[in-house]
Amino acid sequence: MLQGFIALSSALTDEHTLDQDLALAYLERVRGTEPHGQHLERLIQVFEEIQESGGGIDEQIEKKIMKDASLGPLARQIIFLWYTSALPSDDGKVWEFGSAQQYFAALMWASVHAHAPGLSGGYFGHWKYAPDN
Amino acid sequence: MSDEFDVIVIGAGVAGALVAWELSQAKLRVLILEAGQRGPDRVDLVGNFATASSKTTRSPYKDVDGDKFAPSPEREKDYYEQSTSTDLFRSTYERRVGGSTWHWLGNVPRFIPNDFRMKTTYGVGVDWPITYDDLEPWYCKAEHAIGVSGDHEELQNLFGAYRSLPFPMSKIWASYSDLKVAQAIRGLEYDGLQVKILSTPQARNSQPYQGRPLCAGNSTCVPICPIQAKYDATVHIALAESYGALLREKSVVTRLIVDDDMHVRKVIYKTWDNAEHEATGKIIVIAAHAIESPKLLLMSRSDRAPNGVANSSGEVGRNLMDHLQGAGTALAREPLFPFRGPPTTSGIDVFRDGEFRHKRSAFRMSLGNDGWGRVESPYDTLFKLVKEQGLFGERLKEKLADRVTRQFRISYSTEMLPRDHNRVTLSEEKDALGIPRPSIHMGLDDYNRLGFQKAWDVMRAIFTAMKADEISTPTDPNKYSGAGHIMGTCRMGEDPRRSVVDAECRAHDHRNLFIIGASVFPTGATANPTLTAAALALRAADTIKKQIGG
Repeated sequence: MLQGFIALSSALTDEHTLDQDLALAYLERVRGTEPHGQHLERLIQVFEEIQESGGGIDEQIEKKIMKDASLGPLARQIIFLWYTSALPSDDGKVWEFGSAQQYFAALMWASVHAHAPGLSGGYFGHWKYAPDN
Repeated sequence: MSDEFDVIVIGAGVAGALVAWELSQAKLRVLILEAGQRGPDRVDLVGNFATASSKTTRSPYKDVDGDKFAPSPEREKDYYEQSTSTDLFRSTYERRVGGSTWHWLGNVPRFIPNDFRMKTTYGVGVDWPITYDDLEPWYCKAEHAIGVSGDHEELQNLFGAYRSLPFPMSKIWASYSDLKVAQAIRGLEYDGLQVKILSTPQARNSQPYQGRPLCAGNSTCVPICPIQAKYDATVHIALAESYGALLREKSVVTRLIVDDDMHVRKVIYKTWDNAEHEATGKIIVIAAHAIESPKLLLMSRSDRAPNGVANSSGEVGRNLMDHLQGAGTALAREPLFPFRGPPTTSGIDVFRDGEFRHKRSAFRMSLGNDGWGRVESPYDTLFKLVKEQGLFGERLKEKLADRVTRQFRISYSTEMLPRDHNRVTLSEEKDALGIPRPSIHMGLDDYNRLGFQKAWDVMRAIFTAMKADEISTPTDPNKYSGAGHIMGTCRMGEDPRRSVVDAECRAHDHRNLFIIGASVFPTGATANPTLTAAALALRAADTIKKQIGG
C-alpha cells in the first residue's frame, strides 16, 4: 500500500523523490481523516488501474479521481499534506499541522523557489539574487 | 525579611535588560523581576511555531501556565477589556524573559528631529523635553549595544537626523524584489517628492556579532529567529547576569509602596504559585512596557498616592499610542521571489515628515519580502488552486509558482497623536493571580484617517509604475492593524502637571523611581520605537549611576 501511496502522491504533486518515512506518516494521517479517509485503499487501487491502462494519466486522474465525490477530496488532502504538512478545514481557514519535521519538509516552498519559513535559505544575502532552485 | 538591592528592575524586556546590564557592570546589586518565564529553549519554541495551526506572533510562546499567570494578549479582544473603545487597540506584547524582542521584526530606524518637537513645528501633539541632539550619542550607543546593520551614508541626515558614528555592521542587503521594484519606479515622484527606496536599519547581524551568527534568511523574524541573528533582550539579560544581576522569573509585581518621604523602595510581587514576596531597592526601575507599567502604577494607589504611584498629574495610562498600519498588494509583472530573507529589507522614508503634519499623519512604508502577508498567504493560494480550481500535478506546481513568486505588498505605518482619552485603566476583570486585567479605551482620529488615505494613494502610484496587476489597496479609513508599538502611557515632560517622568525618565513624584521603555514617549512619530527606547534606557542608566553614586 505504501508504494502505491507514493506513486499516487508523485502524480498528484509532480514530485518524484518523495521520502518514504514521510509518506508513511502522511498515509496514516490521511487514512485517519473523516469522512473520506476510509476510501484510501480504493483510491490507490483506482490509481494503479490508471497506471496500467496506458492512457493519459492526468486526464484519467482528473476524470476518475478528482471529480469523484469521495476520492476527489481525499486526493486533495494528500496534495495539501505533501505541499504544507497540514490539513485544512473545509473553508481553508484553519490548518492542522503534524510534527515540526513534517513542517520543514513541506514541498510548497521549493515550488515557489523559497524555503519553509524558519529554515535558512542559504548564505547571508542570498535573497539579493534570483533563486538557484 | 525582604531582599535588599541597589536597584530593582521590573520587566526583563529590552529596556530593563539594558539598564540591568549597565548597572550590574557598574557593580551595583541588581534584581530583575520578570512576570513571565525564561524557557523553553529556542529550538522548542521554533518547534511550537512549526506545529502551530495559526502562525501568529504568539505561536512559539503559548504555554498553559504562562498564559494563566502572566497572560500576554494574542488579539485585540484577548486579555484587554475594551468595552468603551470606539475603535479597538490592536497591538500585543509578550511577557517573558526577553520580552517582545523575541517576536519583534527588528527594524530600528531612529526618530528624526521634528518628531521631538511636533507642537513647536506643526502645532499638534506635544514637544519632548529633549531634542534629537540630546539623544543622538545614545542612539549610537544603543546601535552598538544591540548590534545594528545599516547604511550610514544613505541614512546620514535623513530629515536632519545626523549620525555621529557609523553603524557597527554594514547593511542587510536589499532583496531581489527591492531591486526590481526600485528599477520599476525609478524617477517616480509623488506630491513633488521623489519616491526613494532606502535600506532599513535592522538589529539583525550582517556579520558575526556578540557571539551570534549572521542572518541566514530564515524569514521568520516574526515570530522567532531560530539562530538569534536577530537581537533579542536575552542577550543583555545574560550579560547582566554575568555581572552578578539576579533574575527572578515568574514574578509578577503587584504593588509599589510609597514611603513617607515619597520614595518608592518596597516592591511586592507574586510568584506563579500565588505566594507573595517583597524586595526593596534604593532605586526602582519600571520597564514593563506601555500597558503593564501604567497598570502597575495605578494598582499601587495608597493614601500617599491616591491617583496611583507617579500619577499626581493624572497622565499615567493616558496618551496611549500605537502605529496604525495597513498594506496594499499587487501581482508584479515578473517574479520577485518573496519568502526569502528577512520579511522586509527596504522602505520608503520620504513621507515621514513635512508640512502636512499640521493636519494629517506622517507614515513610513516598508517593502515586503513576504508575498501578500495575511491578505493571501501561500496556504490560501494553494487552497484556492487545489479546491476551487481543481488543479494538481505539474499544472498546480506551475500555477502556484507563477502566482506566489509575483505576490508583492507594501505596508505603511502611521503616527497617532497623543490624546488623553486613549488610555489604559484597570479592569474589574482579574487574571489568575487576582490582578486586574488592563482596560483600554481607544478612538481613531481624522489625523490618522487622512494619513491612511494618502498612503493608499502612494501605494497605487507605486503599483501603477510597476505595471502590476490585481492592485488592491484598502478602502475603509476606519480599518487598521496594530504594529505592536505601544507607547505614551507614562510620558516624559518638563511640566509635572502634564507628564509622568522628567527628561531623564525619573518620576516627577518619586525621586528614586525611573520609568523606561516606550511608555515614556510623548509622541510616537513613524519609527519603530525600540531603538529610541533603548537609547533612552541607556541614558537613564547613566543618570541612575550618577544618582546612586552621589
